[in-house]
Amino acid sequence: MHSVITEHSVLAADGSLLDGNHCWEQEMLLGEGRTFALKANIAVKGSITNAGSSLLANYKPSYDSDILRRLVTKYRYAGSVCCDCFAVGTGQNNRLPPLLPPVGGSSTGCGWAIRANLVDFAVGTSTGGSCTEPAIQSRFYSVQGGRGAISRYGVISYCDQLDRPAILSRDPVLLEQVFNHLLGDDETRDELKMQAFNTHKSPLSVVYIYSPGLSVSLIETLTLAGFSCIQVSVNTEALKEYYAKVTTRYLYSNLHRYDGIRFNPDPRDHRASREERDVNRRAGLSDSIVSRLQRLPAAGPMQPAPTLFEGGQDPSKGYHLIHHEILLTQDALNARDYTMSIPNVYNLASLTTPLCEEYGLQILVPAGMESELWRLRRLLGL
Amino acid sequence: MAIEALVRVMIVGLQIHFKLRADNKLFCRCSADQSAPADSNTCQVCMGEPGTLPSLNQALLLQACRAAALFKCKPVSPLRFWRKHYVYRDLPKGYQLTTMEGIGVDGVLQAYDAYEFIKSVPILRVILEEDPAKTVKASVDHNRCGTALLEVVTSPVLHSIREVKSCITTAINMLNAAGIIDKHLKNCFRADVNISTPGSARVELKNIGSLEQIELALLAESQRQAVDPATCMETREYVPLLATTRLLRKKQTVQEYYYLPEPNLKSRQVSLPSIRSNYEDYQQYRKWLPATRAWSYANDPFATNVIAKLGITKILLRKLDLCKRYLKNSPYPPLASFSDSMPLETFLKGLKPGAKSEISVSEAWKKCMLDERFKACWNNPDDRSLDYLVGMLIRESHKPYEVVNAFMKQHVKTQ
Repeated sequence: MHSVITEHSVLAADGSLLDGNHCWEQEMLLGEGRTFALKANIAVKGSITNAGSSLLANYKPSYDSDILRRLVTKYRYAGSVCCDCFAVGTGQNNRLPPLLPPVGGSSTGCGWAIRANLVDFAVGTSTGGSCTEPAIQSRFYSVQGGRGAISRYGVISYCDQLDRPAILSRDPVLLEQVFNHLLGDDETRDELKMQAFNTHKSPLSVVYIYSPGLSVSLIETLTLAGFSCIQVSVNTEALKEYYAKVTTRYLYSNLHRYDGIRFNPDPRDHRASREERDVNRRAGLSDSIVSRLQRLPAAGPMQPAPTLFEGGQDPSKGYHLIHHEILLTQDALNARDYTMSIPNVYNLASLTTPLCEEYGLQILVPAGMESELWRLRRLLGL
Repeated sequence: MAIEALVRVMIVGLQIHFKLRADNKLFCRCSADQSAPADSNTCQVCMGEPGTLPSLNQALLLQACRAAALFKCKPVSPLRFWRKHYVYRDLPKGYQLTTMEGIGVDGVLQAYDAYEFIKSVPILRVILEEDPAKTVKASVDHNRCGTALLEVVTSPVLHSIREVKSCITTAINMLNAAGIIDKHLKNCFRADVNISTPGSARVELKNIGSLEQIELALLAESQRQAVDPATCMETREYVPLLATTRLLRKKQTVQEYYYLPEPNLKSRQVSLPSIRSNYEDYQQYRKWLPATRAWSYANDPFATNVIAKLGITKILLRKLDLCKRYLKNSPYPPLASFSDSMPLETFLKGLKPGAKSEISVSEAWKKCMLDERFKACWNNPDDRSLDYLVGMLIRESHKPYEVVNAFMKQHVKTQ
């Protein structure tokens, strides 16, 4: 394995060359069969799970995540791979040199582990496309279920409302097997997972976000393959604002857990902000996280987080008005089988999930891979 | 006199926190037993380890819904949990999960003081939330962390210490009778008392765990506000040794808890249960209703109020064993004489021994002499058996003690 690693070098931020070993956080071998790696924010009992931050540098969970418990019954766990600090997606990792694109995303280590053929598949997490980006850039596959499809118990989340596990692999057949294995109806500790997930509903439908660079032939191909394609109009700016607000609020909320970190977003108290900022930096938060929290608007008493469904509803017209600028047809809301995110708008991929409740399955097809549609049909069980 | 006058016009609102009767915690399967050694009933969920997710205990949710129904609240649907953020060592997660909007709103509580009706107190909301850990001097015991807490918030309509105490006592008795809490448990409740007097801002007295301390705290605070009125909202605690309240913090504005909806728990559609139709409710009620005292409730407006609130209809009472046991071999009117259209109070009065059902002591003696044990004790009385003889005659004749005692002195040949 080491001889393979030296053929795949990594370029660090300062221009120096690193070997692929730098994508590993910890190596272990559990189970039998095909090997897999877990992102560093997925809990492994007794093993350091630091989520890419010095805050949790010595944190060893007292439990195994549901993902690991399920996978080791059939596959071989090779170890955990690095991610950027709390999977925020900015590429900063307090412990390791940052691994630059073309891998990218917060699941940097997963991408490199697949790219360097260190493991057969890797399991990461995705908030806004953190598994999509390495898959697209490196031209392999990624699958992520809708929220609640795969148990999130044991995943140190960045944003609870959007995070969900995702699988990366070169082999779509293996991808399908692993995904179905994780969808199993065994005992789980995630309340949202406790509903049965049926991957073969009929009729099958696909919700896609229209963008100017969208490949029309792909839509035609899917239609001919029997999919019902439903166009969704999305205001990009509104969704980006929603994404920034929701993720920052839940990051702030979750940071309370990690060694009592607190960040006072009240802009009236400037001295407290500077002091808190220094405390957070000393405690190991990355600059990117600190800068995000600084932009967090001061919340008034009992001010709820924004949701997509703020614009009110007019069911008599057959539309659901969301955020005043997004229109969805009733068909789109009923499209609970699959959602396909076109790579041109991959950074908004995760936002289609709340539109299609927790039964949506996102299949992220790398650009230029339309000819591999037969693999896609196999993946969808057709 | 001036201080007493101010005490009479105080405005008080209550936030009463009750420990729910439960075997497990609210969001995990740990035991809720707090008498165990420190940190022995904990798991990764209630200790707030990164990556863990809460899983709601449905039985406790049902208990809280029953409590809201008991106070005649309107349901809040959908029911959502929120994160209430503050940083303190007793909160491992950094936030507390609570149903901020409440399980039920706009209820009412009829407050009684013993047998006297005091006031109808509006209930703003009934909230289900988790309890933080227990701080014991310099250490923290996490056995309590994650246990279920029921918060009852009243409107600020109480104007005297007697009203406050009767409100809390009535709530405790009602919840205890319904099996929702155990009032005999140590620290079964603690109250946050909000008090303001004319010319003073609202002051919150935190975490008072007994009625006596509430009374003393209200007296101390009302006297203090007469001399040194509060200019802004304050949070204080009562110090028993000093018999006064101590400032904890001042509030310029409502504290920012940065409420966020909890995304890891589903929002639920709840409907408050109808306690009348739940047979198990009055099965629980039976455990706390002594059979021998059934007749005394006829003249007890509080008890009849509780019975009516729990939906114990006379038809159900008729089926209860306590009625059968009480009416067995008794001189009371037969059940057939009671009609369904009769008011409940009249039915209960019918159980009480009236003038017609009393018999003379001599007739009662004749009946008791048929019992072997009574006969033996009567023929050979001593100090212990005299009490037994008197008790048997009272039970059979339903005459007062003085009458029976006079009969005993006249007829018993003591050694």
